[in-house]
Amino acid sequence: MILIECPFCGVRDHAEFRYGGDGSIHYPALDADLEHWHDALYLRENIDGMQLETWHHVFGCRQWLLVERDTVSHEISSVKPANNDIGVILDSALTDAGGGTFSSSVGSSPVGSGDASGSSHVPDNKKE
Amino acid sequence: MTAKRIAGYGRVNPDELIEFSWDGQTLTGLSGDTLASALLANNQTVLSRSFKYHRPRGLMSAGVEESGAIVSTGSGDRLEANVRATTQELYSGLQASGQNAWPSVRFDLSEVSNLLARFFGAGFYYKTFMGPAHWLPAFARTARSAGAGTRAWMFCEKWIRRAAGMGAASALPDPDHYEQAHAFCDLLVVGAGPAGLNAAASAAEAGADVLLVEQDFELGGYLLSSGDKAHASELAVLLKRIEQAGVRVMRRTTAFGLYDHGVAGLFERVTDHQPVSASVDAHCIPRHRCWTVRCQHTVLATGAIERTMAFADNDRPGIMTAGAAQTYLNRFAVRCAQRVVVVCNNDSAYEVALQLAIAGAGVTLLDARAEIDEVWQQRLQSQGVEYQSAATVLRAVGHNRIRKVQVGLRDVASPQASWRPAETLECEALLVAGGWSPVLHLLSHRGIKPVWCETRACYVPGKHAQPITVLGAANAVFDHKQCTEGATQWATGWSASRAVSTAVPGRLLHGRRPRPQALLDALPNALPVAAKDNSSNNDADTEVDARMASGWQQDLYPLFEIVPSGEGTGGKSFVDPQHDVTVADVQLASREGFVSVEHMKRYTTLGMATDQGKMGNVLGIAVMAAASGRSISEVGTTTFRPPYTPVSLGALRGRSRGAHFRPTRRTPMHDWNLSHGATMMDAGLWQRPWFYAEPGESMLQTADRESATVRRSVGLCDVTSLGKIAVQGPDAAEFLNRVYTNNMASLVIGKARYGVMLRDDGLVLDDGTCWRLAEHDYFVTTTTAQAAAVMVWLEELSQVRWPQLQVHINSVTDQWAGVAVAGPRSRELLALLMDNPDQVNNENLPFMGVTRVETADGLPCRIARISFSGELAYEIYVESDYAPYLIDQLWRGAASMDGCLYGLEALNTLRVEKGHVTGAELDGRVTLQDAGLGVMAAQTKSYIGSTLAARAGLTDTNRPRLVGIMPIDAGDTFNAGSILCQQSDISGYGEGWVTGVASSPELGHWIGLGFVNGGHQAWENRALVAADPVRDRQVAVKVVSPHMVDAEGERLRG
Repeated sequence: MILIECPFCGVRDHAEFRYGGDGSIHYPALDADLEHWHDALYLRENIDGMQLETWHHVFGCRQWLLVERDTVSHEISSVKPANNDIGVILDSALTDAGGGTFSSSVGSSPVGSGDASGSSHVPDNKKE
Repeated sequence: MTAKRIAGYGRVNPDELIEFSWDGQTLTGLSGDTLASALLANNQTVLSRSFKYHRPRGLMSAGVEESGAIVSTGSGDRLEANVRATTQELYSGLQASGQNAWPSVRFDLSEVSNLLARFFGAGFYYKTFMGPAHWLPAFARTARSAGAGTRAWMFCEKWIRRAAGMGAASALPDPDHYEQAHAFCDLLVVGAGPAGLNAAASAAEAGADVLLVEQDFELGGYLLSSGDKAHASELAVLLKRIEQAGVRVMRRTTAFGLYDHGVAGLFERVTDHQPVSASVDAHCIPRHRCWTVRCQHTVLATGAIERTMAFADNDRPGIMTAGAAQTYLNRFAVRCAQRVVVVCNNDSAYEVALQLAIAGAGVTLLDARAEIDEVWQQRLQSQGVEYQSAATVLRAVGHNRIRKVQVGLRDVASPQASWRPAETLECEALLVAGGWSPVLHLLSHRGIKPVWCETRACYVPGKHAQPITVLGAANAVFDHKQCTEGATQWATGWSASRAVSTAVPGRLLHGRRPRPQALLDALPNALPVAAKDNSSNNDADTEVDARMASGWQQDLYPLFEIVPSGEGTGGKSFVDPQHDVTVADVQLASREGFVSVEHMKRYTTLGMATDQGKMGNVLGIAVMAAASGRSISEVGTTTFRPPYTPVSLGALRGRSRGAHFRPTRRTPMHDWNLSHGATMMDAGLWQRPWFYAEPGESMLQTADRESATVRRSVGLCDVTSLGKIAVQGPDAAEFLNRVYTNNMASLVIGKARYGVMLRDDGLVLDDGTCWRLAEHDYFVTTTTAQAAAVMVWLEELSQVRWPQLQVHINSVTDQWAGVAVAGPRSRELLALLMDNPDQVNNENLPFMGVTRVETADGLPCRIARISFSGELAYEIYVESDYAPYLIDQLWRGAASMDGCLYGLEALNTLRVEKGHVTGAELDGRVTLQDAGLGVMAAQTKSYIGSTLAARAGLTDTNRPRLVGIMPIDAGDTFNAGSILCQQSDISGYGEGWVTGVASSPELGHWIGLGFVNGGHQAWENRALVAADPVRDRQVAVKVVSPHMVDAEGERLRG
């Protein structure tokens, strides 16, 4: 019955959310080789302590969130939008109110930025 | 006469008599009684039979820890088994009976098992039934293999289960109502004894929103049963304070579990204390409520439970804890017996002995300690209580009721406690005071292990940093004054620190809240266990009073198992009476190597009965410590888990039962479908038309007619339940191109494409269609079953993996309702709805074409020419509210063309004939190639799953591939789920399996789809058997191409 403070909806019961998975995975580019995909998909740390994971606010804003949760105590130390660009927008909107902490500085967010195909929204399917 | 009501005592009302029935006889109790106190007052001593040995059992306690008086209440559909008589309030007409006995608890034929008891030690069943069972008759002992024991167990299980057990539950549907509710508070106080009441009152007076829960029907805890006049007035003051301070009070409510982030589960018994009719009349009043409470801080003022000691035959009716006897006397006005022996190892029993003597009982007190305090001696003498130090009970004598006890004496000079037999004492009750165990179950739920305290001989709360505070006896503070003062002091401190922490702005988007850990650091932790401190006594008189109140002036003598010197007495010493676990069982576990406390628990089943070892666990751990030569700390303790006391399944489920077990989704055409003869079926949460029978038609006849009509003329099918997703934005094309295996970027505006999505691991996730409505606007359909999963997946991809793509994804399943129009005359039918029939001709709406048009009536709709049936077909979507109008218009036209409505059964026939896959085939284990969809894999791009789909194991051509299946004898039928085997080898996994079958009017026989190793080319002209071992059927079949009707797909295009 843990509480997750959704950046968009406020503090909500975890029953509103769906657990995603490991939030620290760097998913390789779609055309990356088999070994990279295998490692990204099947190799997981079994963390005893603070862990970065994804949660989906299914019965709320339907945003995917990056949650830092202690796997032992369930203490949650941070919740951010998984889409860092939205975090940046939230932060800039909060500048007047003292600023927010929903975005990561460029490159530090492991999810999303790791996809080599996504450095811009220009399609990069090289084989096509 | 032994037990007796004593005038002038108790909180029961002697003027209000209550009739109830016990084992068929009508008895009378008083208002304010529990079933237990009423039975005691009526001198009912044997209340149940034990689990394994069928020994007679009576009252052992006066609370939730009860292990003896486990009874059944009610009858018929309200039969309730394993009710603790000690917590069941008495009401007029209450039906109760003993359980686990035949013909009655007083004379139980199964007690013969007690004579065989020496064969039934710990692990008896496992040892007996795991190895070869030579003792069984030959017909049961089928083989002397490793499995023989298991077979022997299966042979004997039903008799064993019947003989060893608890009460029987009703097999009828539960007629009662249950609710779930939520509550919030600043401070949750569990337990309304002296500590809980003081903490709640002080915190509320300081402005906190306090919720106080008490499992009993009266507030007060120990104050109700202490028999001290000063306590009664103290209670009155406290009740006034909590009322004035606005404390919310929940009685008859158990905090059964503590969970993460300040959540507590409460179980409220709303009507269990009333006659059934009263609650049923109201009808809207639930029997139980399950509450989810969220609080900032939790106070556990849960008190302590008195332990018993292990001596021979310590389970005889008439043996109870001293505290229970005190409760029965002072709260329920029942003196448990005329002639009483009290056996103790601490001071708490002295007050009980005195009070019983004052109430007219003859009392003998045996204290295991070497010396008895002089002040106590004076008081005992003044009331005529006989007493002896360094003495205990070696054995209880009696069967259905204790008759006498054998006294044991020890040599105080010897370091080893060995008890030599002395005289016997006549008695009708034996009261045991073995020390007190703080109730730390709820703390254990939070992962906080209790720690053994040698000086107090009990478990105390371990260190922790959670927002939970343990107060009073639960914190091993047994002194009344320390208890109340400590609680008040804590509440005052907590309120002050709270005033500081709540000043931090809390709401989101207005700055971050402090992290939970920071909050915790700001709060005071659990008070340290109060140190025993005698130095502050300055007045002799008050010192005496303080001693009397605390009952803990002298150290407790830790005595658990009473070991007689020389020969044993032969009787059984019970550790866990409810599960019939004895000292010998625990010692056996130790000898056999089950020395870990967790192993010992599971091997002996100690503490695994409905009382969860509330009385017996500490005793068992102490016995194990002695048997294995370790200290109690070294043995450790097992973990208590929720619920603290049993919770009804009804309460956990609330109103989500029957039709409300899960949500029901109906399409906007639901009522229309019903009014047109639809029989519905569940498809996930959806209700979908199954078939539309005409009078006298069976389901199969209907499906045959419907599918034949579609192939001949035209049919309409409600396809609203398909998942529909709007994918929009500048990068929508790129996004879908990465998601689907085939090329969606090249899809031109005004066209649709069939598409398949894979998971990351290269297996098929779902199939559906993708319509390009505009440059940046796609309309995606999914299967009904995977709609939610696909939506979540697309959201994850767009937000987490590819946040740079400018794409917006929205579920529009509920916004658009759909009808499939299928059959050679479908275009003709569609044209009827249009102003200009050319809008839907082959040129303007070619195969896989998409159009957005208004009908002649101005109904805006989206139409795609796509087909699941293999015929010329369309899917029409309109805004949901227009759906009944749309299908009504379509139906008018279809009826004039000799068309039909068709449901899922005919839909299945049509798709099996065509070899189109659904969830039965796309079961999460198949690749594109397995499903016969290899052509869907684009070679010119990468997409989700494309890399891992290339793994050798997934590309092996001998994998099971989609095939069509036909019976060799056209008259044969076969079942979905059958295993496809070679004629010569009908065993194991065979060569494949059948996923779906249908009666095909087009082909004139049954057909099926399935998977066979290597696909249909590998099995051409070879017979297989569709084996159905469950129904014991074997049908000869042949494997064919899955495209069984119109393999070239010509009907789709013209």
